[in-house]
Amino acid sequence: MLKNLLKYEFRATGRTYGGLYLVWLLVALAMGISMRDEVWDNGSSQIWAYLMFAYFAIGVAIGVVCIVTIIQRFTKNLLGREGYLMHTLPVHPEQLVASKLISSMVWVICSGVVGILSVLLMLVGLGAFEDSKTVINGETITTGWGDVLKFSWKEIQSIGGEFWSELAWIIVLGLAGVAVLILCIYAACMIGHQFRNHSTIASILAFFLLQLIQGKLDAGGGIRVIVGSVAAMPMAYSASGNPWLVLLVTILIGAVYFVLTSWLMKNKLDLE
Amino acid sequence: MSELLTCEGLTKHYGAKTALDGVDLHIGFGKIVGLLGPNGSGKTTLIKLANGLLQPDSGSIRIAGMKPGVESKAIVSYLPDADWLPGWMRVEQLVKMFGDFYKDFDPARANEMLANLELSPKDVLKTLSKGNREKVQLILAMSRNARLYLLDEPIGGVDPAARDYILHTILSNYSKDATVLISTHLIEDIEPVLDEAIFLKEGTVFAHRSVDEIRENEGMSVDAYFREVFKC
Repeated sequence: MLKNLLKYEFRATGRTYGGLYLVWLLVALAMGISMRDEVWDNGSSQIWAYLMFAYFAIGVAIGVVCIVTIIQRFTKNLLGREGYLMHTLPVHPEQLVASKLISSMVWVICSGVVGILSVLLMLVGLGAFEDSKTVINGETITTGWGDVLKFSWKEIQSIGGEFWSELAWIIVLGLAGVAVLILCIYAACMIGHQFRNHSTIASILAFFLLQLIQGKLDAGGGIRVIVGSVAAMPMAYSASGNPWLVLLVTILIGAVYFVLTSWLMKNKLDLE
Repeated sequence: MSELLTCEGLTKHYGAKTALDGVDLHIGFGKIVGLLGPNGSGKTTLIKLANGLLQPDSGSIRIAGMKPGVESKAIVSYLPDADWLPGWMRVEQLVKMFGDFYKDFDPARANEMLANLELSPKDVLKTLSKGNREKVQLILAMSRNARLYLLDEPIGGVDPAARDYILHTILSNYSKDATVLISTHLIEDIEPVLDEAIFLKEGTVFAHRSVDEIRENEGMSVDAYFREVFKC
């Protein structure tokens, strides 16, 4: 049933993201083309300025859509009118919460990947992967972005495994931090749902209260990692030096939120 | 198991207001039961409690002996009194969705009913009129081979011509060991199909009797009896 829930969850959310991703990539490509020497010389700087504005605006929009979708898909689809459908499907509350979490995480990851792709497309548009030849004093030499990229890639390769392992941990812990943050939002929404006439304000207060409790745990326990915030995760890793411990604590915090949300959904749901 | 829906001392409050107050109900298999009462008498609350959408403050509610949960939801078909399906979906996508989630859903029956009511499967739900949306929702609910159908105001928003078809649909689509619980104000319309009637008054069960018994003992139709009981 989780598979079916995910299928319809992606269908519902994909409509929003698909268009934004496409436009973002196209704008990045156009921005790159507008920066080519031959185009730039023909007065494309103003177009480039517009494109750059559009590129960053769409990037911000995607970030906002991610946050809004995470909250709305939970509140409207599970605690609003569509909840009449979702909560009468023969599925466990844990499956409902898991489907929301997985789809949210997939969109967060996709947004990051599309962000990287957009930079690559911009470089393609710019012609960064093409070598350009310049004749200086009768001698033909290869110049341009192609050389810079080749040089950079060689440098990255020479850095060694430790760098890649650190980078991988930072990505894993960063994503784990995002997952905990999303689960914290879900738990806050379910706590807010208990306050019939003031659910929105109660949810917001619950979110900050949960974050405060995490902060207190941090101060009390002396373990930086319990902060659990997205930004703190990679730093926590650097500070503690033990990524497995950081990951374990993050998973534990996430599990507490997950169990709390599912329990409230099973035992305290009140859809009026 | 002789009872499909059992309520014992079922109580539900909304803040200071009491929606249901110690309701005891025992409904068996193979019946069409009218859940009747004026606005605010607790009809929708009772149906939501049976679906697990609300939690009782005290007492219990059981469906085929089970507390509302995954197992009971697999045998209960629910039609709420409000728009509850995602408006962006096409009718055919909703048919597919119900088929994906409910093992007892019959897509062929749903498509046949859609065709009979001249509803296009390609239409996006939110583009349909309110009456047509209600028809689609009822078709989806009645295309399941459920044990218990909980229909909250199923004919309130549709035109009288469609009402006959819908009632005929309800009658012809539920299996004989299933029970249909219909909440409505339009008693005259549904009276011919009812086996039993439950009268809810201010959150309590005022009467739970067979329709024949009401007619014989009170000497009047269920509709007339309702008007007498709930006279303002």
